[in-house]
This record gives sequence, structure tokens and C-alpha cells, in this order.
Amino acid sequence: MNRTVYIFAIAAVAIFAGGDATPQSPRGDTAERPSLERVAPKMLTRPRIIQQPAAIVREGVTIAAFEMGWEEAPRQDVLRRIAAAAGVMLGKEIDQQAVMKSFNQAVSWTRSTSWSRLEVAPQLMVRYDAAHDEVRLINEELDVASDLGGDIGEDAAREVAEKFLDQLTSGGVLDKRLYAQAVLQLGYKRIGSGTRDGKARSDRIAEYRFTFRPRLEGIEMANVGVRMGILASGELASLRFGGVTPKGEWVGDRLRPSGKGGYREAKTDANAIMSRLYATVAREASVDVAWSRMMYVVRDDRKEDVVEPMFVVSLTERRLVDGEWVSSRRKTLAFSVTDPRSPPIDLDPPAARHESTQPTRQR
Amino acid sequence: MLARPLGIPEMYRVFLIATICPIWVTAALAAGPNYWIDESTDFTGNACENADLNNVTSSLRSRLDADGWTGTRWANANAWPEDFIERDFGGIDHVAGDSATLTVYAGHGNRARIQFGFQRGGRCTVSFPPSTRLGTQGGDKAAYAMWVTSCTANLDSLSRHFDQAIRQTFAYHNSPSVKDDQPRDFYEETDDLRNTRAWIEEMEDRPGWFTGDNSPIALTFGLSQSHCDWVQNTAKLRARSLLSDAPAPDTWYCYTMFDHGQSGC
Repeated sequence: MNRTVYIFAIAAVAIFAGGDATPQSPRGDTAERPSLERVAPKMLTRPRIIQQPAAIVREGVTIAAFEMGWEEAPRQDVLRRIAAAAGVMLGKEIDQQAVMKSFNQAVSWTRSTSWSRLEVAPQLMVRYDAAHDEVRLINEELDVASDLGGDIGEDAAREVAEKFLDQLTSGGVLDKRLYAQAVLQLGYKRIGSGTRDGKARSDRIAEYRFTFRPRLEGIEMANVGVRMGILASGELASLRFGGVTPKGEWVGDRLRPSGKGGYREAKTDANAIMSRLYATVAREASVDVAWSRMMYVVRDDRKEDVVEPMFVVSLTERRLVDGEWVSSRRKTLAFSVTDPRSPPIDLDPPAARHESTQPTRQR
Repeated sequence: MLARPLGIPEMYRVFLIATICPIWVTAALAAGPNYWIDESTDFTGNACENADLNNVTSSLRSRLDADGWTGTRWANANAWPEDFIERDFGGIDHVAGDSATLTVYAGHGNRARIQFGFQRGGRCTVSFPPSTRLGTQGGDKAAYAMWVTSCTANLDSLSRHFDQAIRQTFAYHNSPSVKDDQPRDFYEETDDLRNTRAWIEEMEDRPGWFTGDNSPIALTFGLSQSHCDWVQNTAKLRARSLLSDAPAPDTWYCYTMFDHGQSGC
């Protein structure tokens, strides 16, 4: 079957099933990797909650637009969230005032790439990214551990992740209402080693990486979430949380748009968008779609915005170059569903002006 | 690469040198580490067609310069495939990709392969075996390699990196989304975090996103399994921990990665 048609068929099936399009490349160059039964990424069900079905875009359905953005959080609030999260990571009650004092001295408020070690909990490294109102914590003792013990397995690890989510929401680190209908995605931290001659070799899952992404009206948000690194032995080794805050009026666990937000009508569907994609991009290259779904996305160049959900496609272009297949870096395109004629927004735009298009270098 | 007799295991040597000879260490670092960076963003109309890209190494170069590193960065028509080809195979890596502590290429790629934006000498791509031999033969200076390209260190192709005799490779198992400043931010984070963790932590997602689009991988080489682990847990680029070139024979490899799939490879 023609490759493009093949991928389109898979994508189309996935879209109509309301899931992600994740075609596997039929051109694996070698089969060198050890057998991996657990292949990422996976979207998991959450048995503890009654999950709303994923929103399916089609002409005539109503979609909600929300004001949302990265808030400038008060320093005391950031410190409180960090201290509470540290308590969850350490698995014990801690003196939050002491931790907050320690954090206030350690955390860099101006450099988003600066990691600090805490005096009161030296195994914890912390980073606060003010531009994205986002906290990262790593338990370095667990991160470098090579003796990982047993593997509790994916299902048990998911239960552990749900337990930590409960602790983070009840501890005021995360807004419980926002995560009530979050989707759950699973990836892994893998470690491996061996000899160059191939005589020795090992590969194992060191960590289950669970990402909870909130949904509004059944539609995922790209720019907010919590990611937990759960060691195979069940301990919490790392945390990342934060992101944009949507504005609106909470009615139970449901947020309704307010202010400049509101309801709008979709004027196209996923199938039409994918057809448009394949008629343009795929004319010039073979296209691998990593995933496609409706999402709320705040663009990099906007700190806050009125955001209506868009149909987002994450893809790779593949071409024959010098007789061999080459993959482009990932491209993410966002298509409007309320204005089908507007061009897709390239969320990975190329350089506006390329450097050195004429050779000046001497050999 | 010539085998260098160690006598005392490297991990103890480093400890001894750092403890006993702080003046020597300070003097050695005063000369400063260096870098070689090639980047392609223009893939249109230059006989190497592919999607045009954003610029991801300009800010890295600025930060390295600000930190006292020295080196060369070439882009587009001035970034040449032969920069990463061994001299014995017709390349000039001895004065380019294998002439500096940190060597970087940003563009497109595939398993153990990189693609340039401008054709030169009839080629757009470089395949690692047999062409690329960093840290050995001509040049023999590279200790760290960063491939900001798709799939270049896909797990299925790790053995095709075994011609390199370097300490660490930073790359991707899948086709990644990389924003302009992420290579710089990775480097900055190695002030505090070990290279391995800084790479996978920074590159797992584009900034401000939680979609887990990337599968970053840090591949390390060592004399033995324990030495490999030690390098993995010790090397920090910005903190200038373990910037010397790799001891030989580094027969072991070890890797750490975040696996969010191998889409696009």
C-alpha cells in the first residue's frame, strides 16, 4: 500500500475512534533493540473516575473558548506549593515554614534554568520557571540509584500515581477540580548498558512517567499538567507541575467560560482537516503523524490569550535524501475548527530569516 | 585512538587531582574548553530538500562564549557534511567536528545519520558508520556530541555510535520538537544537574508543554560498567566536571532516556 495512504488510513481510524494516531514505521532499519513489551506513549484509563468521553470535533458542535495564561504567581504561593510538594515527595510530614524559608533562600526567581538544592532536604533539587509558573523537583538520591529493586508493574504504578495526585490536590498544590477529568499518559525512563562488542547487554524500565493533563469540556490542555516519575519500585522520584490557569466560573467540577471567553460553533471536522493536511504537506513528503487531537494551546508568543480549542497535529516529514530516508524534526500544526479557511498555525515556525545562505567560509 | 595507560582508575585520579592539585586544575581550566557547532535551518532549494527549521544553537553559542568557551559556529551554506567525516574518509573532522570538546549538529536526521541543508561534494547526509569517528584518529579532541536531529540515537541504532570514542552523546530516540533556546537551557542546567539528567529533563517537552513529545537519550561510554555509571553521574558541562577527552579503551556504554515513543523514525 502507498505509504501516505497507509498512514492516512491509520490516522483516520484513530480519529474516528476518538484517539491518537500513532502509526508505526514499516521501515525499521534494524531489530537491534531488546524486546520491549511496553512501548510508549500510552493513554491510560483512570478506573477511579467516571471519565467523560474525549470531545470529537464535527461541524455544528459547540465548543468553549476560555481566557487562560501563565499567571505571575505570588512568591508566597509558589513557596507554599513547593513546600507541600516536597512533603509529598519525601513521604512525610514536614515543617512547611522551615522548608519555605529554605526554599526562599535556595530558589532562583530570575533564572528559569537554575536548580537549587535544599538545605532542609538535600536530596531534593528544585527549579521554578516563573515564565511558565512551573515547578520541577527531583529526588537526586533516587534519580542516580542503580539498585532499583523490583518492578511493581504498570497497574500498581498507576495506582501510586493516582494516590500522589490525591495528595497533591488535597495538599493544595494542584486544583482538584482541574484534574478531576484529566487524561493520563504514560512514558518511561529507561536505563541500559552493555559492551561495544555486544557480549553484555541490559535494558530496563527504571521509572514510569505519568502525565495528567487537565481537560475542559472534554478537551485537553497542552500547557498545564503534572508529571510524576514513579520508580519501578514505587517511590516518587520526580515531579513537574504547573502551567496555565484557565479563567471562568466553576460549577462543581466543570469550568464555564467567562469574560472574553464564550461558546462558538465548529465549522469543520477532523476528517476534513486531515484531508487538507495530506493534500498539502504530504504532497511533498511522506508524513508520520505522532498524534492528532483537539487541544487548548497557548502560543509561545502570548502570555495570556482567549483560547478556543484547535485541532492539533504533531507530525514528522520523511524524505529520501542521498537515497536514504531522513526524518525532519517534529512539526506541530494547529488548525482552527471555527474558521476552516484560516491557514494552520505552525507552532514550530522556521527561522524568519536564515543565516549564511551564501557561502563565505574558506576551506 | 591510542590506549592511554591509566594506572590509577580515572574516578580516583580525578578525586586526587581535584584534592591535591587545585592550582593545577585551575590552570588547566583557564585555557578553557572549546566547541564546534554546525546548524542547518534552510532546506529549501539547495539540493537537500526538507522542512525548514528554527535556529536552536545561536543562544547556545552565546552562552558558551559568555562562559569563556571558545569555538566556531557555522550555519547553512557554511555548515559542511565533511565537518563530521573522518579525515581518512575524505573529511575534515580533524579541524572541525573532532577538534573541540563539545561538538554539535542541529538539523534533520535519522538513525546514526544527519542531514545538512546545502549539498556539498554531491552529498547532503553523513552516516556515522563508516564516516564519523569522533574522539579518535584525526582530531581526537571531541569529548561530547550533541545531535539536535531526529532519531540519530534511536535505540535500534546505538551500535552505530560505537565508532565514536567520546564521553557522552546527547540526542533523541524519536523525532523531537525543539524550541530555540532548549540546547542553551540544557547547557545552563548542567551547572547544577549532571549532563544526563539535564538533557532528558530539558528535552522531554517543549517549554511550557506537557504533551511528552520527545524521547531524549544520553549515551555514555566508559572503561567498565562502574566507570560508565560514574561518568554518567559525574559529568557536568557548565560546571566543567569531566571535560577532558575520554580514556581508552572505553568498551562499555550506558544510557538513560525518557521514552515517549519513537514516532517519526
